[in-house]
Amino acid sequence: MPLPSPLDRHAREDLRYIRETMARAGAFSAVPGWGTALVGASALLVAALAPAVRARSGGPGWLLAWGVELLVAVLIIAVALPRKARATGEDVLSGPARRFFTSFLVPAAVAAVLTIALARAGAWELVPGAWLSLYGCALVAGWGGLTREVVPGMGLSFVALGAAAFLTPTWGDAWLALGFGGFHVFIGLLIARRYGG
Amino acid sequence: MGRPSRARKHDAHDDDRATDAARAATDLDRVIHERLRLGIVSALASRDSLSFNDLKAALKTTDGNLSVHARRLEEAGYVDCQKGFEGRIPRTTYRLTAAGRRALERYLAHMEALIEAARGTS
Repeated sequence: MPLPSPLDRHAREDLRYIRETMARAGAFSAVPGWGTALVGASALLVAALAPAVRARSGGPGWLLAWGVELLVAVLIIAVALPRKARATGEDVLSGPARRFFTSFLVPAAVAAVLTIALARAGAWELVPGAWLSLYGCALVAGWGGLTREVVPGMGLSFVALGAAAFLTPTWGDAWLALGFGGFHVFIGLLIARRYGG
Repeated sequence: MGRPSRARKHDAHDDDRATDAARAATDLDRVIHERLRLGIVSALASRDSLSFNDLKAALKTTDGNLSVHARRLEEAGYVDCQKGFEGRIPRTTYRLTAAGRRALERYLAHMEALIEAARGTS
């Protein structure tokens, strides 16, 4: 007697659903809302000061200002992320978390090399476009490791901002303020409100 | 004219498999057979615990749906629910119980049995 095929199909669908749900729920989701908002606030401050720094010290001074901002952002996240992970019962060294952080490594390395190359060429105006695009690519690449649906959306927004910065290079600091500042504040507050912390 | 005994044996073997599959289908745990409840149990099986909002996001469902089905699982003893506060914000956390984990394992075994039986008769 042949087994009715819908039963078999239903069983396969159920198994697929279980696998997909487990993968989605098991993904890294300890993105710190308040920490991300704080990173955005510090970026807004630097973006406000950057044009003046550039007028006085030129490109290298401007790069130093944003370099300091990068350090501040890393420090904030280094404090906020483990706290959030503890609160949500996640492990910052888990597989999904490692995959998410790894997704940042290659774009970060490319950003560093591009920054050096553009600085040597004196093309400072193109640096914001490169940073924003690559940061967006890193967020999109980390998509699979996250459950926070807002993060991939943020990644695509950064890629779009990067394109805008390449097309209107004289507005570089404004695009950086909107991206690293505004987007982070907005997304951070959204995460804090929706998911806590 | 009768059929060769080997063919009859083969048919009997297929019948046994189909009977096993039918039994597996009727023995299914109705509590977690429902799609959203199966999702809740599966999601909780992959983590120590999940907040209400995280579960809602993982399962792409509404507050009302999740509440109803989570309560059904709680009543069955498959899920443990803890209500507390994070600062001033209420926070509900769910955890899979040992009975819930066993129920999921049994359900998975049932599904695999069904697939195996279908493979045997095809």
